[in-house]
Amino acid sequence: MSNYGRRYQIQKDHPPSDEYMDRYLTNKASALRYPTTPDIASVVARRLAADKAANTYRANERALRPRTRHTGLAVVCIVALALVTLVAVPQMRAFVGNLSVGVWRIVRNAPEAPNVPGVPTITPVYPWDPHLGGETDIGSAIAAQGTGVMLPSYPEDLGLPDHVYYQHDLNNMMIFVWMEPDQPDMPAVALYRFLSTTTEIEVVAPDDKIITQMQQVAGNSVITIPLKVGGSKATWIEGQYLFNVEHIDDKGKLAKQMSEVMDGNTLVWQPIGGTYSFKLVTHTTLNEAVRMAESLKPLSPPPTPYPTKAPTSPSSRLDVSGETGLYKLDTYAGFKLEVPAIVDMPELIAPDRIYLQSNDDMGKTVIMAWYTPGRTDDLRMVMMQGTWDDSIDAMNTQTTKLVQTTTIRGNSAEWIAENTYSIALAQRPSDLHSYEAKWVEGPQYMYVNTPDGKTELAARSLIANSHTLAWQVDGVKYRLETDLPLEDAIQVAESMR
Amino acid sequence: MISRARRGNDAAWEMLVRDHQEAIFRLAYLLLGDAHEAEDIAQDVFVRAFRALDTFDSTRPLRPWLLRITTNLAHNHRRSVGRYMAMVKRAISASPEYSTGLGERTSQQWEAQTLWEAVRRLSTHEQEVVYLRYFLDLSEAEMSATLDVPPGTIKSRLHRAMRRLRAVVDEDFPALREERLT
Repeated sequence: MSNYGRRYQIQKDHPPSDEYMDRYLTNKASALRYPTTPDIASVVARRLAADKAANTYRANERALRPRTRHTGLAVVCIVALALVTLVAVPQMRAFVGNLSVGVWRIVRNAPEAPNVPGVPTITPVYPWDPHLGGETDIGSAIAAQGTGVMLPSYPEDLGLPDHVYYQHDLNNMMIFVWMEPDQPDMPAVALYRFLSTTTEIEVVAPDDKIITQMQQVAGNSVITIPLKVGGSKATWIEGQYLFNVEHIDDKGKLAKQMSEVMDGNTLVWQPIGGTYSFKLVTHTTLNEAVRMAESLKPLSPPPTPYPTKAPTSPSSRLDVSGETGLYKLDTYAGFKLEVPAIVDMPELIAPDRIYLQSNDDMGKTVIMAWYTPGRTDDLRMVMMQGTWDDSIDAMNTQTTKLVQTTTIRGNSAEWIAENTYSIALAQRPSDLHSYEAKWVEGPQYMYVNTPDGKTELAARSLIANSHTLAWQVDGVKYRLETDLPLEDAIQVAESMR
Repeated sequence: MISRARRGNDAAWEMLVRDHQEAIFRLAYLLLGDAHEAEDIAQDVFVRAFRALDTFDSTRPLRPWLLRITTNLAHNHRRSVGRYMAMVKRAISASPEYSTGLGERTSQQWEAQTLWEAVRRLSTHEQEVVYLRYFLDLSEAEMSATLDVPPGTIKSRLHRAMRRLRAVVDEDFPALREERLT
């Protein structure tokens, strides 16, 4: 007999009250058996990833760039493609199910999902938060932190980070992020540096319980492996988790907290006796991550000054307008700004002077200048980047005079190399990652042809006895003036990040 | 977590989905009466919600917002022609995966199932308030946020739904009142 019926029997012709119905429904409705809730989260994640991949693909297609930063990227892509192909074969899926490669991470133990035509069952790498506070540039970070800045010197082509964050409120935490070269929204590597003495690291599940080894998080297994990095205790973490950094003040109270949802492979370590602990989030293998961790080198000005060049040429001086700083300069310039990123030459990372110039003919031009260390009157290197209207293709190899044509205030102008040693050296074609470059030995002078038929000196190389390496990538022109030999200039140019 | 998801953090959103997917799937199942359709709707709810996170007032709880999207999508879905075709297709190749195990039901489960069938005779608005209040156990405040109506309207809708449900049971579900019939 149902309770509802029993109540009716008692009350005869009086229908049950709202209160009774309320209790009855509350009781009965809870007994309803529902189908097992399917794994909606995974399917939603794949759909969103497919959306993102499609958007990224479209964006990449629009801004297709032949240049790649890492020479090994093509290999990585081929391996990734091969793995995706392998995963499509059921027999091979179990074998490769735990691998993580390059941009994409193959989902471990992924349930069979309804296939969306043309969309591979892959998810993007760990989420990226582009709105982290405290964004700065590497030069400012070095200035603020002195010898405290360390970066991996492995792999050799990693270069400088694309983003640098200095979280002063979190006890000077620094975050360095390298993006995938062809996917500016996709991080490849993130390195966190935080004070060992005042922070506590916890791996926290969504329900705020501290994860122990092998604990499940939202259906994904989180694997932690204790190991050593350079003799220091370290932990390798695979799987999705929340990374919590808490800053405990002198009184033992929680002063600041930062949480990140992580889905990359993570290596956390604390060098013996070191002031800082580090966390490396990447999608490489454990062995590769350990190699990166062990390759950390201080990125600070060398303790002994470089030998200075003397005498200083009086023409090595700067008389340039529009001085500015690096921070957010990309936005103002309208193109992606690059700086030399040679780990062994950290003094080149932060230019000593930066200028932004704009005019109708030349477009936006950024001029960076480096002094010889300890000598504010001796220019060592000048880099111009911009969208000015000229073409290195116009370089004339038939004469030692005409080197490059351009336009100044509506008048034709020419860069002239007057002191070239020989035509072969003066205009030696070079190769920068397959991009044609021109090397002009000896200083150059720019002459403008005025409407009244005169020729006036409009500009000159900023460095006396300098040479020039000029190249162009995706519409952005680069002009490096230096007194370094060609081989060193090429190294500087190829390190541009 | 919501603010991270709003900034495009897919993993944060996945965690939120896991927190709420059962309630969303169940409401869709109650409204549509079909597990496959409920799953489709639940997926759409979370995908659409993610895309519309910028419009969400993060000072408010997330669940009522998701439930509201669910009721809207289910309402639209019920009226679509494609739904009929999909049901026919599934009827031809029926899968046992969503079986609720009829043979193993206890009398309580049978009563709950019959009660649900009675509730499905009510109007859409009446069904919604009954499902939210009794099947998903929402408070009146949460119902008010979900259906975007004042609490007073929730009370009156519940009262009307109850009155209608009594009538439906009296007329069409005598088994629920077997004692009175005997």
